[in-house]
Amino acid sequence: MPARPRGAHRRALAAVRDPITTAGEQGIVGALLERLKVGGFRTPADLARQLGISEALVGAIIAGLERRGYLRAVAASCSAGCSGCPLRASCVLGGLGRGWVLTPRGRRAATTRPASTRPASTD
Amino acid sequence: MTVTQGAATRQITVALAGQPNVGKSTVFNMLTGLSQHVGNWPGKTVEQKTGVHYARGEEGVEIKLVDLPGTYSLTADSPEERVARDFVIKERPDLVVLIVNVAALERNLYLLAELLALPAPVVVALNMLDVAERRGIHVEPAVLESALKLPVVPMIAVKNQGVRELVQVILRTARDPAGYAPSRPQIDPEQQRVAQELERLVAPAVPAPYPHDWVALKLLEGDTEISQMIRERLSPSEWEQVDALLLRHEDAILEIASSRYEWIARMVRAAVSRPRVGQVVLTDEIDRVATHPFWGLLLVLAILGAVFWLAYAIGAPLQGLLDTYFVEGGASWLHQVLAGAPWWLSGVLADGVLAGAGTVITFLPILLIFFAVLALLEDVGYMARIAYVMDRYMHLMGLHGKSFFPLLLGFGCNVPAVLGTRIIDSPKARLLTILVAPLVPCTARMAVVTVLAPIFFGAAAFWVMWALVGLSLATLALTGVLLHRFAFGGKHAAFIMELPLYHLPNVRTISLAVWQRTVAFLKKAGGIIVVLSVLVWVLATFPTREMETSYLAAIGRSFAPLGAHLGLDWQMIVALLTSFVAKENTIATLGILFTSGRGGTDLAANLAPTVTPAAGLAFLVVQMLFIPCVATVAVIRQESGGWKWALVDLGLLLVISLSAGAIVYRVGTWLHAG
Repeated sequence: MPARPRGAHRRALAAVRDPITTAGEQGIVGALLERLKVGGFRTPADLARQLGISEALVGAIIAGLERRGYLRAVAASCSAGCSGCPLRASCVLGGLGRGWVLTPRGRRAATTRPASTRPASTD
Repeated sequence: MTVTQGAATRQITVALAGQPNVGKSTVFNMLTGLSQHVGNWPGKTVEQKTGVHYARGEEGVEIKLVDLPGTYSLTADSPEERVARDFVIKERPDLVVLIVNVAALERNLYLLAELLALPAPVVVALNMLDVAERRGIHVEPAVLESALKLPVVPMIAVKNQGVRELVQVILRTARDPAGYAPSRPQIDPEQQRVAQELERLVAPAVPAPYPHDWVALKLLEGDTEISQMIRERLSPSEWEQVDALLLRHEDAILEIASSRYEWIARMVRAAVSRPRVGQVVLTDEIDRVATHPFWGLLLVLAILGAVFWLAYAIGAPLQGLLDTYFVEGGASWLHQVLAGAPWWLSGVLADGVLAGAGTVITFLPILLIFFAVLALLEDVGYMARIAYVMDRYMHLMGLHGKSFFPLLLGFGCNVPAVLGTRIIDSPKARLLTILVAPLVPCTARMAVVTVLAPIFFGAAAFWVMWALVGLSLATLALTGVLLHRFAFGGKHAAFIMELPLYHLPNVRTISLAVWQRTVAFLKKAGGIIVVLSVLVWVLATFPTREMETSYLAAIGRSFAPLGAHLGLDWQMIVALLTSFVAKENTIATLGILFTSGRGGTDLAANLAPTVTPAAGLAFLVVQMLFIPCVATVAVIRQESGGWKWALVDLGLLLVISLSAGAIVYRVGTWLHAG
């Protein structure tokens, strides 16, 4: 089993105990969905900044929400919707990044889910 | 822990878990070597691999390794996930080794959060440390180990680093199962209470060896397999109670997932640092300007300006050269070669196909510039920023990032723009986007304007092109605002989009994109445009072999009242009408009408004196805002669900384009006279 930590190691571990304050009462996923309530463009970097978490974690949450049917990935290339299109060679969508939109389930969760009264979790 | 105790050997069963592409197979192959057995999981089509490892210096100990299928989570979403969790629950391995890709630590730790709810000790193998370091991700394995309160082994499996240490940790953990007390994500008290209530309701129906609390948690998460299993074991009235409770907490998964992600966030905050280096810093620096509300827009406009300048300064002269040597030279050569052939043959080939479709092919230098710039912007990662910057301005017309996606496509071609609206959920927003999509100037329209503007306006052509694109986009915005305000309404949708990191352009990728688009253009020029060129030539030649008394002249003159409002004669009106088949036909038609029988084959020389500046500008304005080509109309009909909206759109665009043209002509004439 792990040895007892010392020095810088112990200071780093303090970060484990501090709650993620930006998550608020509704939890980090709820806080992310909350930010999608209002229309407009968001990047994972924007969301990460607002939620005070890493961009990689926002990516993980987005992937999870997509798997659970709250978000839907939109075609990042024209291959899906335009397979029969003779002009797809002139399509410029290929260079855009991946995108996601709320599904009806995600929209409902973003707009109607009541915030619970939970404290931030600690071990 | 159950450790199989043989007469001479002790067997430790270890399950290797992990997400796909984390190097799990590499670790498995290194540990098992030639002792692998490959088959299928019982009753499944999922491959099962098992093998044995004998640790050096550990006589009488056999480590049996079972390679679980790669899974992102442990919900019953796929056969792989069911196989993986069933093995841990039913076979109770002595240990689960979770192989983690450090470069994607957050995603991988979610699987750990789920594994920790199962009844088996977990050891984490931090793999691909080298890949993570290269991406500027620095992980402290010792800190992570203290934070997780379970053994963590750093490794680079492909270099055989850390594999021996992993074996030692496996043996040590298997010997001392009592010391295993990891940090687990705690769900919030409200969900905890619901989970306990559920556990109480379903406990009698949970078959062995499923842990009751895990089953309750999975029910709350909406796990279909567990729901089915419990439903079959409860009476209908008992299930009704469970179902009602679940329905009241339909989105409990969001709370449960939140607690796991927050747990991950705290672990990562302690053990991972990401000093921003290289591409990331470069991207941040460039994006400070490129995604700025004001400077970003200015950059978009500057790039647009640069494209026009390139098209005008380089593309147009090359187009002129092609016109001189390919179309004019080719026509006189054809006339010579076909001197003895019937008049109509040299006529249709030289004055029809070559003057029409041939002239369209002279666009190529201009199109190559458009194609190359589009491909370059795509490849370096800038294209997505245009959508991001423009989103702010799309708000004004009720369109959002998601609508801008398809509209951005429109700069290439309006057809994929209309098809691209499928990504918009709201039917109203989708229809609105379809209706305004033809106002985005496509490359074909831009090429026509790039050819004609210098003929009408000489050196001022660059500024005219700028103004025309500005007019198109302003009309698009204004139409959108009006349609949104008076005809539609509805809520705005949010859209998440990843902005790719900037990188140096790849010549091969850009060349390929330019090549594909060029081939598509040449096919179009060689197909529909050749057919229409022949048709225009036939109509302009018969029945009298005199253009002024031809069928086409008759058709064109029937539009004379319209032409009068725009200051255009019948040839120009016909050129405009033929653009309905394909935008390039404007040039093809002008090529035929202004070169045959006019004592010279230079389109520019013949066309320029016949059009006043006011009429020329009116013509270009109508050309930019005119009804889209027939292919676009066909997809508008298809995507809007019938002719109704396609006809509304055609009517709308006709009114807009002709009114704008008439206003420009009147004002232009007045200014010129003044």
